[in-house]
Amino acid sequence: MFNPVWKTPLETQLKDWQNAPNAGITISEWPASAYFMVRGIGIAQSMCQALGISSWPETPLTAVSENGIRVLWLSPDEWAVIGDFAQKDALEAKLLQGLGSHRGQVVDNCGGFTGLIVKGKDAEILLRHLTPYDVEHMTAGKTVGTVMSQTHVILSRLGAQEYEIIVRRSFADYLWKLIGKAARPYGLAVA
Amino acid sequence: MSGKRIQNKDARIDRSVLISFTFDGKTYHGFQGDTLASALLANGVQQLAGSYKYGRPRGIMSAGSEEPNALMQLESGAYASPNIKATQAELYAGLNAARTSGKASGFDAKRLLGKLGKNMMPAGFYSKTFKWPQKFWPYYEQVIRGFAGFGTAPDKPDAEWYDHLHHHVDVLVIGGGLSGLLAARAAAKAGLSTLLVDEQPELGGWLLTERQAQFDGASAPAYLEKLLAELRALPNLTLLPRTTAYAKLDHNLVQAVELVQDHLPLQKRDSSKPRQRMHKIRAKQILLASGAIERPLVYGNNDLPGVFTLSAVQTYLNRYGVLVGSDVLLCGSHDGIYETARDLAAAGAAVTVADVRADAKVPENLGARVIVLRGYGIAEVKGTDCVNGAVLRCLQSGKSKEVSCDAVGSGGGQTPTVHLYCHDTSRPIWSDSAMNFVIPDTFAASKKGICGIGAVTGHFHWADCLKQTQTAVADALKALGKETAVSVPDTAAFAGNTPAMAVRLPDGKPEGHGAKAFVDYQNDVTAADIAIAVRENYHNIEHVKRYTAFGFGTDQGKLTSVNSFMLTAAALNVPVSSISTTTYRPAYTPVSFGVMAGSMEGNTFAPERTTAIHAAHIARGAPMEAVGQWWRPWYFPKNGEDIHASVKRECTAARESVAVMDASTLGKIQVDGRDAREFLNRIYSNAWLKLAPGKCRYGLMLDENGMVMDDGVTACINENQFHMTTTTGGAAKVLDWLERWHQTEWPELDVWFNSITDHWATVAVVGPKSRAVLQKLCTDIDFSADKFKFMDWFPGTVAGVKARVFRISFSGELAYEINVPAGYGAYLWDEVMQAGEEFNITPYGTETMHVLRAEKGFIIAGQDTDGSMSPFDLNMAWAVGMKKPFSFLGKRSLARSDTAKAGRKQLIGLYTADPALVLKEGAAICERNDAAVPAAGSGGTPVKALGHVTSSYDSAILGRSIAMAVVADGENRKGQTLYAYQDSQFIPVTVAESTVFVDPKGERQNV
Amino acid sequence: MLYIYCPYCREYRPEEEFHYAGEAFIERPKDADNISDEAWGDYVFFRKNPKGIAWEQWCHGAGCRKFFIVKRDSVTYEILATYTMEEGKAAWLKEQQENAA
Repeated sequence: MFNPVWKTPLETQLKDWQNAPNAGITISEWPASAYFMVRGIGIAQSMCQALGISSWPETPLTAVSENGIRVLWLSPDEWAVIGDFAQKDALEAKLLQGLGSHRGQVVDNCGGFTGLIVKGKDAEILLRHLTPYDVEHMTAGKTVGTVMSQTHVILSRLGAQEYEIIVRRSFADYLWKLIGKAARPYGLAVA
Repeated sequence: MSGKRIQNKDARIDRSVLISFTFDGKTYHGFQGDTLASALLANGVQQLAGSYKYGRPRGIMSAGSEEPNALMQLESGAYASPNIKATQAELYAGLNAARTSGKASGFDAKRLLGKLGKNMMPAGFYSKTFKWPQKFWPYYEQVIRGFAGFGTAPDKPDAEWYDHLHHHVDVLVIGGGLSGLLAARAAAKAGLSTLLVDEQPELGGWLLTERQAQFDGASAPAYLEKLLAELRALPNLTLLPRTTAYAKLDHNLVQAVELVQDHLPLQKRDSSKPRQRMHKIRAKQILLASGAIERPLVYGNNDLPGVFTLSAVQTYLNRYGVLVGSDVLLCGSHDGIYETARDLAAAGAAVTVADVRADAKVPENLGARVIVLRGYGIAEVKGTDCVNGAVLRCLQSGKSKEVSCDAVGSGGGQTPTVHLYCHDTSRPIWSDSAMNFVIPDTFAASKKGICGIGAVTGHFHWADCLKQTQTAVADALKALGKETAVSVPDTAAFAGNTPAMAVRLPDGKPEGHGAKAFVDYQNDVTAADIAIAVRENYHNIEHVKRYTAFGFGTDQGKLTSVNSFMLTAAALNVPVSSISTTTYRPAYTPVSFGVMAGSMEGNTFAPERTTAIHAAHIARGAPMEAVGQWWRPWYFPKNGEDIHASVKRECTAARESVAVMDASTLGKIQVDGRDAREFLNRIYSNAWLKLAPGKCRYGLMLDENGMVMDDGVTACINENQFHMTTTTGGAAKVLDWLERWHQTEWPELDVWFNSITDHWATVAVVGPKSRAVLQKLCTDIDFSADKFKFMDWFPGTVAGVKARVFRISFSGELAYEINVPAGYGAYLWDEVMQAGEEFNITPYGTETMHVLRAEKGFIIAGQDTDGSMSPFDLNMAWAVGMKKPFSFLGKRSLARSDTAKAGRKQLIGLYTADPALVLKEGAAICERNDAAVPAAGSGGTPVKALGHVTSSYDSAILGRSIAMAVVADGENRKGQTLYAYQDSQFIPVTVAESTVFVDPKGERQNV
Repeated sequence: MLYIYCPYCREYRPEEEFHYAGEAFIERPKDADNISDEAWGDYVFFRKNPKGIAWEQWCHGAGCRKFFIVKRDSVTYEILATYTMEEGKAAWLKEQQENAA
């Protein structure tokens, strides 16, 4: 009888965007995703076991991508775990299993965040307009929590010309508008 | 009309591109490469401003950002820019410029006043004259401000846009003169990421003017061309011309403004590019190559149009091909006068050189039309609107000599542009050899992260300057781990005369009795004003500055502040090194508001946070209200209703049938851990140890001062997990507060926090029919009154989505809050609207929410509280667990004498005598209605207020207005008549028995 | 704008990512209910505000959300060192001992 519909925060905005010709930047939004915040102390080993992955990022500003899930280091006792939306409940169960009796928490935040994949020859300079973080010296694979104008984001460099910005749902439209303005000299297209 | 364009093949203008522009409504022509100033001079325009205080005619003085006089209004409407210096404005086709002060011709009241006044407006004139009677000051001010002029603010929104760009570099070179260019080359070649900024459109600095010295055997233009070609090929070097570094902030952050499109004709500006860009540059090492500015001499009528600095005369000639006069008088204390004389003579001008040094050796080959007078200074320039002669004075004998001239150039030496080195409020140091304030000339003696190179360090002659640059740059690069030789060109050592110290040239009269001799042009400060200030006992240089007003304004005294320091020292009879300087503060040059704001304008001025259901509210036509950063629907008008009609209908629906609100903006925090309960017990004033899973409780959070900080309902999810809610505006602050107490005070507690505000979309279904709506949407929760009680919560499936349903109420009605992951928020809202259709379900906004909660006496933290209300002041003792074992946050303060005293301001309910009258929030509450309320600013005795109205609404269910107020000793005033003062009237009000206006027994929600 | 080394993220970050969180090492009185108004008032309201070396708490709000210790010169704004809470406490106590000696 009910047919629930999930909407990502920027679905409409991206659909309505008029692509610039010869765009130096292309952007896409994550599909609906499983997104958990995991906090705890001494949980690396048990998390690896529970999730079936070989390592858990304990080095600051690093990330692990394995077995269909990504784990981003956010703080010495906090990580973001991102996976397939369809496997959300199973992932939560595994995370709770991984946490076990350790001090910590597993927080379902799949409604709370979205991610933008920013690609192209002008992706780096676009980010330099948006954030005071040292994007020029950011190596591929690095993940940092920083600011873009007045919103907090988690910024990752995925490749030579590819970045990811994770932002809170309620700030997503604001960030999208900032991106639209900053991208004017370079041209922006939705992938 | 004395200035003219001459044939000069080395000038940096393109004679093949003729440009027409207007000034004060008249059309002129210039060339590509001109500034507005060089083009106006080439057209013989001299007088283009009126001075600030005396209305004296003024002209262009300089060729750079130090210009005090030539402030222009550029363009109009959406493109208007006030107070742009003509010396910095690049000429473009169709440029429309106008003066910002004085009049081209006709009657000028200020000028007349200045003339009549002559010696009647000394330092302190305005503050002394217009001081009494004090109440007339607003009238005086109006007239004086009208006099002062200086440009008109744009009257339309800006047609262009601005942005910011961040840089993180190894080396930032500030200044693109020879030292800066060589430093940038060395740094980039050593493999360091290097950025060079320069305020001018063309890189080269003084090389653009220099025509006599040779570099590696080449002329300055030829050498520059080769050097720039080399620099442009270096991959790790970025060159940013038209970019002024205007501030050096903490930890080596430099902010610089690039004029991206200001030099383009309006119709050629590219809308995909910003007009200006702010560069925020974090540099490991700054090499400050900001050069120096010619310091003019001080003599009678040294402000007449046609009076320039020496270097400006040379720059207009060599760089722009403009001869500023055909008969030029040069006066100075260094050999720059001879260089300039040689260039002028070669261009066909007659030149008189007055060298203040009697023993100077005059160089040969100056040219046939150059006359040199040694040991002479200028006593006074002659002329009314422009220069038409001068009186020289022999400094030894005092004999006068009149000379003819139509332009004057003077130079007392170079003032190093030390500003950025000193933006941390430190002072430059006095150098006897440079005869000016300088910054250290070695890397070792420099501050961490910033080092001067070139003229800014006081090394003014080429060979000397290059040697300093070579050593300092090599040392700076070495400190960055790059040991490398810094190459500089060969150039001849300086073999001229030693410069002499000169500031005020004497006219043989006591200070103040001769012709006015200006020290600061923009603020009309004369040498006599400095003397008066010192005589009136202003001895500290910062005081002299403020009494006379030297060094203020759009030029910030770049040209002449050092003259003020020197004259102050002379008046005090102390060495100027003991006076030091005033404080150098950002901004070095004026910065437009637009570029400061960058993208923080329009719809990105500040974050506009929206809920997952936002689009539905917009589609329904709800006006939005900003609540903190959130945008929430204010009310939902139907068929052209106004806010009152809409809110009345929404309130009635909530009380009689069912209404629905998007409550997603409430702050939400997930709290986990074995000590979560203990933690809540410490940070809330009420008790949490016994709250069972499945139950909710209202909590009050106090700061350590015992005052209410935030509130909200918290649900126990399981023994070790809580779902906390906070106020919409307080969420981030509360999360920070919790983390702070945990991390800094009680790290031993096993407790964890994370924001889940954005994760949950919350739909509040409110009213007698809310249960029926929920039952249609959810079959796995038993909604019967005895199973799902008030302040219970259940997990369940609502409209096919896993949800948390809380039975809580902010309206006093039967109500449920449905929480689903926000991706389903829009879907859930539509389902609730459909399910409620048969009950005429009515969406409501923040205004109705406020009315409903105020009818029940529920407070809004931050509206009915202001950081000075304790729980007892709010009559909320029930929410304070004084017997809890741990001394919860703020508890001890509740017992402090001031917090515990009687008669504090307390929250009370008010009824107006006229039920139709809705009080204004903020209205003062007074005891009597017969006090005379003094007019604002009249100085009369204010009427004592007992407090003020915090919440006030028209209640649909009561058919009358209600209000809450905080009033001194409010709890003992029940039944009293008090008076609310608003709109110049005392409105009688009665203090209610309680703040609960509707359903005091709580029966409506208990169904 | 300060450039602050976050001891948890282990790199320099711009001031925009942080917020100041008051003087460091102010301990909440253990027996709050039984101390004098004056002692409690000192704890709630009074701060050192030194000219020179200041020990401060900062929070890396946009980054790791950790509170940490900054030893900063309040005149020059130079940051002399940053520490995790525990390291900071140890360094501060050591300095106090040295100053006393």
